[in-house]
Amino acid sequence: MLNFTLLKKSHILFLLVILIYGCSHEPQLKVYKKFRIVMDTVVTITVVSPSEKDAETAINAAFSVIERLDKSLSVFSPDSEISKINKSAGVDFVKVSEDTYQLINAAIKIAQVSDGAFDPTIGPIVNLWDFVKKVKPHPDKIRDRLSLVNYKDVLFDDSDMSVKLKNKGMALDLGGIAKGFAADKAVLSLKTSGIKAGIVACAGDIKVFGKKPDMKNWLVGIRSPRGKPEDLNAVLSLNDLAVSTSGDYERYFIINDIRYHHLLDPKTGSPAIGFQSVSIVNTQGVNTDSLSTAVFVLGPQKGLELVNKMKLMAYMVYSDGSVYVTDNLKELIVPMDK
Amino acid sequence: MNLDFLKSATIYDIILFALLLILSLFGMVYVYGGSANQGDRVVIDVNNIQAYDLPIDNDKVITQGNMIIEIKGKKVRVKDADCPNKLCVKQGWIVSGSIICLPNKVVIMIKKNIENSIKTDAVSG
Repeated sequence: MLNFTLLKKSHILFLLVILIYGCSHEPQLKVYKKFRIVMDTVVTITVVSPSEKDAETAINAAFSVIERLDKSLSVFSPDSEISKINKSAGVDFVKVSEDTYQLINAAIKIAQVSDGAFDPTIGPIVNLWDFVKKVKPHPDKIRDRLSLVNYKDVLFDDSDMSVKLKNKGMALDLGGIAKGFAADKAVLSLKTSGIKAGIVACAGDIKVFGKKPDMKNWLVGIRSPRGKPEDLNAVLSLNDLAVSTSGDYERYFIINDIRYHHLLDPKTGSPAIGFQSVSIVNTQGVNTDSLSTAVFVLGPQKGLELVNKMKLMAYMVYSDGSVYVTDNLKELIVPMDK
Repeated sequence: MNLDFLKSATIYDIILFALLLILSLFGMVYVYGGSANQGDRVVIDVNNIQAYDLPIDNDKVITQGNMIIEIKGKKVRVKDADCPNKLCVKQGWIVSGSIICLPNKVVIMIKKNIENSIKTDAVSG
């Protein structure tokens, strides 16, 4: 015969288990992912959410933020705020939106700390090169335009958030900072929508926040510069961090065994030498995007000086394929087979 | 918790208790672990709108605008395209990840189950 007292207690225990389980059981978290072509690249947004509908609403709102930024910042759109500033170079101040004003300010700060290795006024030089049609400009043409590249000639009027380029012919190009900035803003939008974890990847400019449903960090690969797009050099375990990589394999052409790539040195107007790729990890995408370019352009020696000075987390692949990883980044690297 | 009552437990009590515990644990595993396990799909977006969602197991050739996309032997490639630098064609066959043709605004992505596929969640570079 069963001991009924114990049976009752078993029931109580069973109910307790159910109760504890019931209290701890939240709706199942899932990963939702969407991508769109925007900012002339593929932007992928990944979120963790208990609801597909909430995830979709949040992702769409974040994409709207990026699309709005693209409209303001694109040099290809004649109506963008950047195009208006460029058209008014040497003539007038142009009133811009808060985001654009904030971004141009951020770009100038990075230009200052990198002593012009990153320079948002590199537009006149960028316009000379065409990496699709393999156009390598004549050195005289480059020389003529170098005087137009100087971040110190960007003038601000804080009273009405307007910007002016001092000299005619100057042109802003925020291609080296806008995607990281967009990733920051998109993450902010996702958080405002109530999303607790996710990734915004504007091509190689990636920002992650929160943790995956299994409570593990997000794993972000660093592409191998000379491998296939899916070949990785390293995998980083990230939480609430951004990472950007500037590589000489993104847009380039080769003539007589010389690789001409899009990471142009504002001081020479030609592709920077010394690295195959530079990846920077930081809390802000606006910093990782611009500083990966700055370090790349500075080259191995001065680049490392900047990395050390700013205590940046960096993964650098030199021209000969050798790799240097800063100590503060090593702990974020996970074995490739994980 | 006072566990004195365990001293007077019979074998039936223990069996009953174990059964209840197993049942409740099984329920938890079922709820947390149960999800559909679909095969890999080839998803093709054109101008940010999904144009195709195809099983990777079925060989197929798709003409999308001036692009020819081929699915064969559980692999995908852009066989031909009219874009200037033909990076999409040069990428060759893929078994994971994506092929992107920016001039044609076409993204071809191999979509796998989150549970069985992700080694990395994103790639910088």
